[in-house]
Amino acid sequence: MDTDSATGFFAKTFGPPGSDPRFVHVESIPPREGVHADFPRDLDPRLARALRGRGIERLYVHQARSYDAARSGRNVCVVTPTASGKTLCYNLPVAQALLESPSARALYLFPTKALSQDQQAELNELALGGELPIRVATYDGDTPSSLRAAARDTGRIVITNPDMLHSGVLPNHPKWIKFFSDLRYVVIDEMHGYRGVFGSHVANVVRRLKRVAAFYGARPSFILCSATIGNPEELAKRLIGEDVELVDVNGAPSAPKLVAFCNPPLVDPVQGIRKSTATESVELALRLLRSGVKTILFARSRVRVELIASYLNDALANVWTENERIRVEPYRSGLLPNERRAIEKGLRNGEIQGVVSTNALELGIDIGGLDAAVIAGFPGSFASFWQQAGRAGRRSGASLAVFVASSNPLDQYIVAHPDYFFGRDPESARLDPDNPYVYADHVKCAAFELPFAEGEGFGPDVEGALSFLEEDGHVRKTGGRWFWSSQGYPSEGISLRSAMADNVVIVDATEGRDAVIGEMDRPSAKELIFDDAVYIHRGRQFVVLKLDIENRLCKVEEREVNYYTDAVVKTDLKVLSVDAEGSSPGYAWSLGDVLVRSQAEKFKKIRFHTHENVGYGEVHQSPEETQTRAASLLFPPGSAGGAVLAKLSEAERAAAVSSAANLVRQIAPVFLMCDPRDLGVSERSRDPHFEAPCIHLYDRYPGGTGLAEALVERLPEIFAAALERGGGCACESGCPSCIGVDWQVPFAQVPGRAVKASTRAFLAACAGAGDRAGS
Amino acid sequence: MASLKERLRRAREIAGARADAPRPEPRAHNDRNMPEGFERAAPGLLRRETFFALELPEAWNLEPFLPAADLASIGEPRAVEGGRLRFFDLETTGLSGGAGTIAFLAAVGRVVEGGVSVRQWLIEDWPGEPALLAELARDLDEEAVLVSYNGRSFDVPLARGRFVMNRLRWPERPHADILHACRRLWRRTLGSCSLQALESAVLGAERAADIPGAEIPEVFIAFARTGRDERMDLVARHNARDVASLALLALEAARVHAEPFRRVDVDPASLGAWLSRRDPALARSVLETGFGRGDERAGLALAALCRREGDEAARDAVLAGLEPTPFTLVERAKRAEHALGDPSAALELAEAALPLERRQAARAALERRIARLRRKIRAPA
Repeated sequence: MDTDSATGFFAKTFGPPGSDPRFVHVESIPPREGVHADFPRDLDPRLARALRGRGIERLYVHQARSYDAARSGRNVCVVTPTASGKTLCYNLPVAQALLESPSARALYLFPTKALSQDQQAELNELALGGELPIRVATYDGDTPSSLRAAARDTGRIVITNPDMLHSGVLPNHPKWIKFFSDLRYVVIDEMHGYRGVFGSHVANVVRRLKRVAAFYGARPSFILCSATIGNPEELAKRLIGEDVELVDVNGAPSAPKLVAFCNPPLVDPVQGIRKSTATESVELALRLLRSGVKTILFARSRVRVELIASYLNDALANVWTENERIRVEPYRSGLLPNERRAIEKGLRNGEIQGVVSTNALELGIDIGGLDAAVIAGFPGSFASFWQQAGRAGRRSGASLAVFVASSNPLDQYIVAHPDYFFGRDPESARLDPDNPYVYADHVKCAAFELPFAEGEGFGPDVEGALSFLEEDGHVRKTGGRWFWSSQGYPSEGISLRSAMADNVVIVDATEGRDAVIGEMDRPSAKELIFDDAVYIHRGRQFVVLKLDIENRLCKVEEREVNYYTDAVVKTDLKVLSVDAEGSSPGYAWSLGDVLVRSQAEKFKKIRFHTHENVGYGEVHQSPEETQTRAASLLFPPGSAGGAVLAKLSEAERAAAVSSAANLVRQIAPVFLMCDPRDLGVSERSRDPHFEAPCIHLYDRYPGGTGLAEALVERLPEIFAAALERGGGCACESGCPSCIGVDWQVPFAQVPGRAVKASTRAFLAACAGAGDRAGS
Repeated sequence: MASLKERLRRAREIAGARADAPRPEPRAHNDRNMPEGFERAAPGLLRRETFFALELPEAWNLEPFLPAADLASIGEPRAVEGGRLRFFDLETTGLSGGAGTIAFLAAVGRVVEGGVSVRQWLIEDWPGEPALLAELARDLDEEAVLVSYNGRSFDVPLARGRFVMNRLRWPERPHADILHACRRLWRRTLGSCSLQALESAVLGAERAADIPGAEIPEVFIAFARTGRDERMDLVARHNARDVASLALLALEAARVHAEPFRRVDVDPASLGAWLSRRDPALARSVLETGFGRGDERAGLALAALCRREGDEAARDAVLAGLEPTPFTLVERAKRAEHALGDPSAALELAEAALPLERRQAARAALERRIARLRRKIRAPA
């Protein structure tokens, strides 16, 4: 990009700011100067030489602080934005310790294999330059068995991922005796990625790691690195179960950047219908790509990524110009690893100019610098938004991020409140190391690794978990200890990436091809690749011939269709326990275990481009049942919210509860740092358990990941934001951007204007007063 | 809040996982039926001795089994005193290894007057393991030489891990794992080289009642839980029998390496190749015999041996007698051109090799060779 100033860059493609009414806000983020520090005085001369060899004469201030904290033996958590020289924050203190003590070892954990490979290259080539006597070894699923023994015995720094630590290293710890005995440092990079169910698993893997290290007499220090989140210190503590010292200064310089909000024009102001996010994003991305700007477009789901990528490629298609010499690829989970690696490489070396991605590319996978990011729909969290926006931008030269709002309430709330957006703190990341399923699974693995002694500490209730496992014969208590007493190898059946391990394999059966083209977790499969569903894979369309859940197999056939499919899922919920309760003048709440049964019953066929509904089909899949945690919002007649509802007719009440539920569910993720899909909702105008109108908000992961607990703490803010969106909308009788339209299907007889008014009154009553502490 | 255990139980009901889980039977306490022939040696640890009457020599040849590092440490590897040998085998709680798999039964066989005496250590439950390991270490005294079947890959790494986890030191001893030598002799001729398969095919012995190896872990798990399981008798018999067969098989395998013509079911090519570096004259007669019976691999090994011995004429004859392959034809072409000075014959051989060669690089080399030979024939130096 030859334009230095961010505004110039923007103007080159979209005209001067203010000329295009779609850009409702343009925020300029000024460049920042670096803040430096000298090399630490005790730094080994060989390290200093290696740094100077890379042209580094001084450190950034955050690197120097991390060094000091880590060298003093404390656990450190460093918060840095992208491209701020983060790796030196841990490479320096670790390399120094390894040079001082020839037997010391360090373990590096990266969330994915791809990141491990990047890091090994970085360590070998840059930090250590081959001159330092420190052997670095990658140990993951791709390491050939001939190299594994050497990695274990001689690797001073071993790079791996949590999955390999969980299933390969810890269960075989007697082979790692030397490594564990001398383990000095554990580095956890991309810590912000360890949230939700994955984070809950990893926190338990860390518990196991510490237990095994302690068996060999080692007590390693941790160095954690995170992108900007609201609660780095708390997340780090929960992840490693120990105190940490926080380093959150940032001494790295940054280039200027522009963040623009684009609100697609209203097509029908009365009904509040806007031009679709996908269409608008495609148009913006095309303009950028055609002016030679390397662009990444983030979309909200796997289906949307495929849709948008094919819209882009259709628009560029031209046999005479090789598609205008612009290549755009979709990138998402479910692609095969080699397909992903090829796309990453193409982006780095410039063969690919555009990529459409899910949040899969949020993590620090090296794809080189891009110039612009188009974010089609709010990604669900501010932290995620800034990660995605950060994908555009190199060390020098201006960059641009465009947020294209969808018509959902959260997006509209954001474009209407840029000050709030740019002024607020990022959300907190949560994980729950004590999720009962996750925890019990890891107690199982830990018992396999070393017998548990009576009174040994490990998580919240190790005796409870062990006596539960004893009932199934997995462990056996005898002589005051619990022994693993089963034949299996427990970590093999436990995946860290989801609460349930089993994936459905997608097989292309077109003309007897019989080739595996992807995979999907079982619950998603039931909602996405049911019989007759359209599955899009790298722009090619497939129709599902048969989803065979029993054999975890989905056969698809390549076929040209002009629509995609969207399942209509029906959810039923049963309250199992009430663990905490509270109330405010506006409403009451209850927190506890629930049983959620969800089932896709039918699906809509939606035409490409116009997105109109062109038909329905039946889905025949068994329901999914999960036990999880829910926050139930209750509106008994005694509460202000309940009093508003009590005055309404039955149909009006149902419509108001339904539209408020929709609004609350859409707004809540922003206060919880979760993906909107992590949160489920089920509302009743009269709940059989609580005997009052009720909105259940539940964690979609079995056993919960702490969302329900966090939600009850943020209720006043959530109600206030919901009221603002629902009450402040300019539409006439309710639109997708406020109270939604889904309530119209069952309650078509209630006029929208009335529903909008009663929803507003209801939310106002709820938000009216602060929460009185619950118990 | 519901307790963790209650919540987990509820989840199990939802998943219906409990339906096929076995109900643990009440444990038999003092009325346990001791497995056949065992007595309690220590709390939680059972022992028995079983004698197998076998005809065994005083001195054993372990050279075919020992890696180079162990050969040096053992003295005279072709005549190891029988009294030093410890034939050993473990039975474990799982087949995939990992820190949660333990050895619940260990057998150590010693050569005694008139046969082999097998001592077995069986734990009654998990806490018996440290006592078993301590006894095992005592059995593997300083002078001991381990003899095993696949012990290098399975039993010893597992035992080493168990010793580490119990804060004990695994006694590192010279170790003759006979698996590889047995594969060398019999894999091509007999197929399966499991100990049981060789016991039947090589030693001609049949077992009456036996238990498949894959079922052994669950027997111990049931045995520890209930205090009795009649299948444990079968497991113990299986384990003792394995050790006795191991002794006989080690003896037979060693003998075949020294007297290759004692049996007709061995693979002459592999055995001859192994002998080539140790006893070239014997190797040559083994390979010649094999080649004489039409074994092409023996012929190739023989050609290699002839070259090492510098007997090119014999090698020429062997190569001429082998099936024409790109390798044999090109080797003969080289000889014809450089040693025998007959480029026309060399050209003929190279041309015959070309249609048989599939590998791209080798084809290109062959084409260059042919072109060069043609030039040479047209314009002799």
